[in-house]
Amino acid sequence: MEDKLKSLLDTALQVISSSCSQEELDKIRVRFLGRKGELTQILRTMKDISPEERPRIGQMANEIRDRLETELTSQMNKIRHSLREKQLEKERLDVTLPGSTITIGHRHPLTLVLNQIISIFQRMGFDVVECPEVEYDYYNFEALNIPKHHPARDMQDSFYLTEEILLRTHTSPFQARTLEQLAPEVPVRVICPGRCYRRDPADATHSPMFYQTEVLVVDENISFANLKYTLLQFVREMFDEKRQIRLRPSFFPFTEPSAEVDISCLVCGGHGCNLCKGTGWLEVLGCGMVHPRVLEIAGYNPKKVSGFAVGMGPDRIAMLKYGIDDIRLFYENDLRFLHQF
Amino acid sequence: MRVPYNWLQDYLSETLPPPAELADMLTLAGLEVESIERAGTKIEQVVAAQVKEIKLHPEANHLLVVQVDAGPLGCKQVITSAQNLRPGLKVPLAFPGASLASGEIIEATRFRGLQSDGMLCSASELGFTETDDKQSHGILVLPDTTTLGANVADVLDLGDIVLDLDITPNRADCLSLIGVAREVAAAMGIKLVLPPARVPNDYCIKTPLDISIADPDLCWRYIGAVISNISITSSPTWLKRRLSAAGMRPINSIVDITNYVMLETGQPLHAFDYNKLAQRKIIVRRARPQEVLVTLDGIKRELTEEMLVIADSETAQALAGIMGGLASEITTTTNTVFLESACFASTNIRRTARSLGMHTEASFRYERIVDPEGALFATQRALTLLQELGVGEIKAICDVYPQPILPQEITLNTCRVRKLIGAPVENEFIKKALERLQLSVVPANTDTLKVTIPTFRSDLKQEADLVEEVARLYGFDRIPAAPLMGKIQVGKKPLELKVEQMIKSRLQSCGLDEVQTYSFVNPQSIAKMNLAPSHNNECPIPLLFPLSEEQSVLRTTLTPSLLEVAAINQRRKARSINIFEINRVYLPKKLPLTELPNMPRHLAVVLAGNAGEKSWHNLPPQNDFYRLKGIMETVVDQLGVSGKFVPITLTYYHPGRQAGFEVADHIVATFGELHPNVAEAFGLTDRVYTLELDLSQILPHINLTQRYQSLPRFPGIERDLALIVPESVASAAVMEVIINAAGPYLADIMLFDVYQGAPVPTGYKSLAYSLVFRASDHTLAEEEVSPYMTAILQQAEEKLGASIRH
Repeated sequence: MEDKLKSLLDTALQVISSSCSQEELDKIRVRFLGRKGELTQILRTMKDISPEERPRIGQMANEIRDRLETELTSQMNKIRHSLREKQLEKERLDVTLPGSTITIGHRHPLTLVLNQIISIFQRMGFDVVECPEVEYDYYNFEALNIPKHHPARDMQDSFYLTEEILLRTHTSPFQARTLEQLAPEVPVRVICPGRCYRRDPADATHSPMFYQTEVLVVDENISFANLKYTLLQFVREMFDEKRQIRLRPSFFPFTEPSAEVDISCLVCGGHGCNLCKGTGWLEVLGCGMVHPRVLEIAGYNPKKVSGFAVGMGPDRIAMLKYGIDDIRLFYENDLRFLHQF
Repeated sequence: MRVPYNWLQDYLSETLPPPAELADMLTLAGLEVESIERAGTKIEQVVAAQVKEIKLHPEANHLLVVQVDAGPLGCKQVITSAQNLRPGLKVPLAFPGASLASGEIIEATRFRGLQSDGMLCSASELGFTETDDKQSHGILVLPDTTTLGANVADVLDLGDIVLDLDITPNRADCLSLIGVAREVAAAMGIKLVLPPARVPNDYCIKTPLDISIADPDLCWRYIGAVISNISITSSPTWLKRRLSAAGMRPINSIVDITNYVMLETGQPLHAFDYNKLAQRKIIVRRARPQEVLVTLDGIKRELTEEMLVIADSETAQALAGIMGGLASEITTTTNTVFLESACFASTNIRRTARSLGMHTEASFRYERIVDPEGALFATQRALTLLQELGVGEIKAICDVYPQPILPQEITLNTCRVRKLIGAPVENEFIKKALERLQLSVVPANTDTLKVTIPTFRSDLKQEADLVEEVARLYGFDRIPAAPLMGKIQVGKKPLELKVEQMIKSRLQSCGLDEVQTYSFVNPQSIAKMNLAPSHNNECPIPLLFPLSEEQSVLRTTLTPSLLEVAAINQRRKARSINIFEINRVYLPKKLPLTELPNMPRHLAVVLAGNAGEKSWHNLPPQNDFYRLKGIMETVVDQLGVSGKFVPITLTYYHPGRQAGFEVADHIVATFGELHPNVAEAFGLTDRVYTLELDLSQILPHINLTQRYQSLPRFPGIERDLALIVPESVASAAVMEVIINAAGPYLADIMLFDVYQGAPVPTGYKSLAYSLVFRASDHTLAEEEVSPYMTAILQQAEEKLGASIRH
């Protein structure tokens, strides 16, 4: 009997190891370990052996059963593994084929830049406010120290809707409106983005409609040095940490002193190139200390408080940042242009 | 303002730095140099040559064969058609390879069989104006003293460098070379040198001339001078060249001198033919009603009583401060000249110039205020030049100055200067800086200065203006950068802008591209929309002076602008156009406007063509009404706005494919398939879907509170249900019936199939729903759900005539 068991084990091991499918293994299991299987058949003859032998034979049979179970499972795993390998081999792809087209939407470059400007100033503690695009002559000019027939009105040819109402030519009316509303409260730290309009026919550098963002600070002891610091913070966050700024005296009726601000050229870094016309500098914005008249008109005492204002063109900044050479592209909305952002 | 470098040098005590350095210095002082031009540097290989012999061309009677002697460079033969040549004249000869002002390169050529070794040049070919051509009748004649063979660019000093300055409107004083020189002197700390302006003593300044100022509110000062025995000639070359370099056309000696002095001093001068002034009278007065004046440009001007004129005893002879009259123009026969140097009220000049559309060098300066004290200097300077050039004899001068304008005094607190600038500028520096600008400074006490402002700096009105002057001379670059101090506070943003950003992100993730279009539109584009008359679109606000018809009214809706963008892109072969814009529209409360209009923000979406790109791997997703509705739903869901979709009937949509979104009884958005007629009118092919939403109307209904809902702890029971209903029954009605009948355990319901066709009978449709029932506190048993399923069926049958589809 012992021999029979041994030969059963040998035969079974051999059959298992040469099997190559799950079905085959199932049959092998039935053949050796099933209720009518060979092992059972052998064990049926247990009654013919002596009682002293039985425990040993019984143990041997159990060991064989366990061994076969283990072998079956392991062979089963082997087969599954090799089947999967074959399957995977068949599924090989040409990974150089282009990926599926994922249609995503694009933000307009002006929105990207506007959002960035707003975010930078918001992080510096500036509130965002909005002011009307259609504006009274009073706020657009007079409250900003630009009386009627002032030559400074030449700087901004306007679209009038009536004698007293026009499309704002800059976001600066916000200075007058905000200060009028807040006076005499300090500190004032606000920013106003929005569309502006000037009677300039569209060409590569002019657009009858464009964006502006105005920044305004009023508090006790605000100095030109504060303005410079704030500009540096902004410029370095907007462009990069290497940017230098240069302030040039200029004229705006609602600031005094006034300055135009240049940044070191984004292409040549200041050595001179085509973009900066050899000067090494690019004009990005205008600014100045709020004119005492503007403070007075709004109801502040210019002897007690001072402030600074900054006006910048997101169109100009976007053009510099992305190297866009024609402002009309922003408002033409060619999808091939928009998809680049 | 064009500033010739060499000319500027005349007014400074020290040698100027090289042009590029000077330009930087001026720019940093606030006089922005826009460009540096080198007039005449293009002229090369053009030399002085003398005409030796002139013969007619044997083959062409309009051509001449000229032999010229270029000194050390030898004799040359040139073919020309010029008429002003005679032997002995010295003329410019361009050799082959020479480049002229236009950039043209000269080549050796043959004319009708004869060789031409170069070309004789006219004034304009060397960069002068065409007037000079007329005066010389052809080839430019060089001075007799010119050395043969000399480089003409050197002879004529053509290498002059011109700085083009952008003068800000406040700096009227810098609209002159002396003004610019004063700035240079201040910046460099050197001396300003004024040109000679002497009037010989034997002319009494009060010699009676008949000058009266009838309107002293508009004319502050009027100086007249009479010069007789005038010989009108062409000005000397140096003067013409300076005028040309500064951008003015040389005309004749008298006019050139007035222009020269204006460029030099900033004071406009005008010369009248004295004998043409009736009774030799000058009256400065407002124009009479219906008075007309033919100005120098030959145009008849109809004047109003607002306008100031210079008249003789009978009629207006000049438009004050703007342009002279044709009748008293200086001509070759003029014998006596009346020279005007006056100071007019800037606002009036500006108003007149604007209303007549006349912008002259004179009006440009008067509009920006001319220094009343400078008027006399300018007269004296002009008379000095007239004498120097021997143009005529000074007969009389008369100065009418009813109310002399006195210099203003400003008190400057130097502590405030330091506080405003934020730099340790010392009192001594402040004082010196202001003095360098020719202001006189007297210390009142330790930190107070009394500053007297000369009349030429009318822009300096108060302390802040002086602070700028100090800061400018201190140097903006030397001012340190100092952080803002104070409370730290979060920058806030209005809800509307936050919502705008949220919608933009959401639409971007839907695959839509953002566009930005003009706020002004063509009224035609609104007409193309075929809008119903009751719609407020019919009354857009017009611009008073639009740039073009395309941009003549403010839009009342965004959709037409987006349709135009779609059409442009479709013409450029874009296959999938999915765009949106959020911007304002302009709705007048009343026309014509008496107050600011309403300017609500709108969102518009236009879908045309495919919903996305196709590839080898995927078919392009399609646009249809339901995608648009999905976009609408995702926008309002994100904002927590609840409302309902309602039928609408707008003419610009497909009659059967449009809907409105209603919030609190107001339709806040409409969307649908664009009517094919409208699509066609915009030049769009295929179906187009549009949506427009009024953001201002949903703003009050927005709910951005986000609360977490606990995940279900017990399993739900899923049931599918397909109902067959008559075709006319709206899906929403079916949904409503189901929800009402489904009982408290209904957790979710989704329509997953809509089907028409066999075996569903004609006139009916099948709607299939997937329902999930769930209790929050126990696992539901079948028996708890079955009664509700029965109720749903029963209700659907009763209310909708529905039957179950097996």
